Amino acid sequence: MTNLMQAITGVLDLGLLQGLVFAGVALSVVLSLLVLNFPDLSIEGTFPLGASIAGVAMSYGWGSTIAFFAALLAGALSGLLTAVLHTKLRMSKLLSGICTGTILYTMNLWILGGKGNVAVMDGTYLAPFERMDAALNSAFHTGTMYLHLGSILGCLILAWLLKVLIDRTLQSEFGVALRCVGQNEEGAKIRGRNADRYKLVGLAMANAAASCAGALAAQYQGYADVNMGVGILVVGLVAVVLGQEIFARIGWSLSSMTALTRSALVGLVTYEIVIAGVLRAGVPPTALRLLTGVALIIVVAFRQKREPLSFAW
Amino acid sequence: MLRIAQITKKFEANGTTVEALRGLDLTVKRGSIVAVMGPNGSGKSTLFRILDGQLEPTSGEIVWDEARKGGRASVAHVPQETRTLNFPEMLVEDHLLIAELQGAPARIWRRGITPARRMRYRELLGRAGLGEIAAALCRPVKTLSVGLQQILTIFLAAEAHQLREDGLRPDLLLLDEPTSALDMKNTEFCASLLRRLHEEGHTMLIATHHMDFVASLVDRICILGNGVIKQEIDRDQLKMFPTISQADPVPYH
Repeated sequence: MTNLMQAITGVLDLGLLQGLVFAGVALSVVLSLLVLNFPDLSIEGTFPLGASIAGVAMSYGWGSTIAFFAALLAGALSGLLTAVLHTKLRMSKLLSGICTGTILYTMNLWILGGKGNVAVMDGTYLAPFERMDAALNSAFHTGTMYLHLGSILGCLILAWLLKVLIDRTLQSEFGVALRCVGQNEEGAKIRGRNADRYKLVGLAMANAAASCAGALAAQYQGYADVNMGVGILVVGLVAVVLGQEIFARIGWSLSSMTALTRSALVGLVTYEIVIAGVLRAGVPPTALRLLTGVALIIVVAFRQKREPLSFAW
Repeated sequence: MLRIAQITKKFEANGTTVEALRGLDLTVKRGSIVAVMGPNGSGKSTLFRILDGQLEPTSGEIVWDEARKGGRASVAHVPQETRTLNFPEMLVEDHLLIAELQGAPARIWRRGITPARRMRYRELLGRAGLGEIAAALCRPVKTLSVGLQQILTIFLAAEAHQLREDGLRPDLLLLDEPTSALDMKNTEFCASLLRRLHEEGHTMLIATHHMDFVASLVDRICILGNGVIKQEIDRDQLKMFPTISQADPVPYH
């Protein structure tokens, strides 16, 4: 019984931490897909871009704050590139994202100095919280079980800050206009909105959020890897769909933007807890992508409302 | 107020030229309501799209009165398919906000829907007799009936200027088939709304197929056919037509 409790606690601890680390990805998918109706595949390149820039910047001794903002800026620029390809060169939404993602793969390799990965060890944002982990484990006498309560607190603060920032933006006059552009571009143009400009800003924000998540993931995992973005978009999608489903079944409203971002974070944490549990049960980590794909299929198949997904690809 | 002189519009498609308007002349006095009637393809929508600036005429000129000399007139266009203007998943109050912000920047540091704004929207809708829409302010527009969505769109085009800082109402209101999605009750409401707007001095062009809707409302009816005005019937002449069928002398082609 004690072993079972320990296992459950361990799974919750790990799932919660992972979910909060990847919060930026879920929020990025909310922005690009739910708000702008733009299936931005370049997020799979932006996530490792944030990790690479943060990792390399910290290995040069720039400090975690500068590294974090450098990653944020790079993510925003990558979003701008996707938006320019779509709005100025009239590439389709999918193609512009694929094009940027392909370019970013080489960029990430260059940033990492031609190597596939780079270690991120010292001076991370999470370092003080990791020290708190040790103190709390000692205080609570957790014994052989090592909990990440401090790290969870640190990631929770960062995820909450990011969520509040995005919520505030979406609730502003600009945010309402941004949502109009995503819902009905022609209607927004008739109402005097420059749709291209809104797409530029919206995609820059979405990619900056994904890049932030990458920077945090590199600090949490202790390395930045050029392939760490593979499948990350599907994780974001699972988070959004699962979160909406959880809210719908509980009966919580999804009509406000704050509820939408909250549901995405709840979906992400739930997904990560399930994945941590499955891995704990002995499923090999090589099956992770398979599990993610299957999770998306299951969530979509068992949705309460069998309507097409609220976003159009 | 508005004089349209010898307007033509040609469309090129697959090597063939289609002439939608062939030298159309029309004058609309300030504060009047003019109905434009005619069969499908007679050029009504093309005329409206030229007037709201979506299309450039091939030749001819549009002259606004002295007050607008040198500047562009503000034209509010409610298309037949009001969904082209609506954002179905967004709330009714968001629609009022976007209409309020028309012509002004949407600022990222200013909150969109505030309690003060919500109250103002409720008051405005209430004053216009749209209590049903005021009660649904926090609901997505897609949950309103199609008729109410149409009424909301017409209301926003005509009345949203009251929410803006400049407070300038549109010089011309273009309504393309405003009653196409409305039941009897909403058609009557729409007629009373347009009557009130007329009393307030709005200038309107209404494209419609429903003579019974416009007969008691408009100052003049222009019958369009083949891209030109075939016949004009003024208010006094309208009273002389005992039946609707007699008032539509242009044969469908």
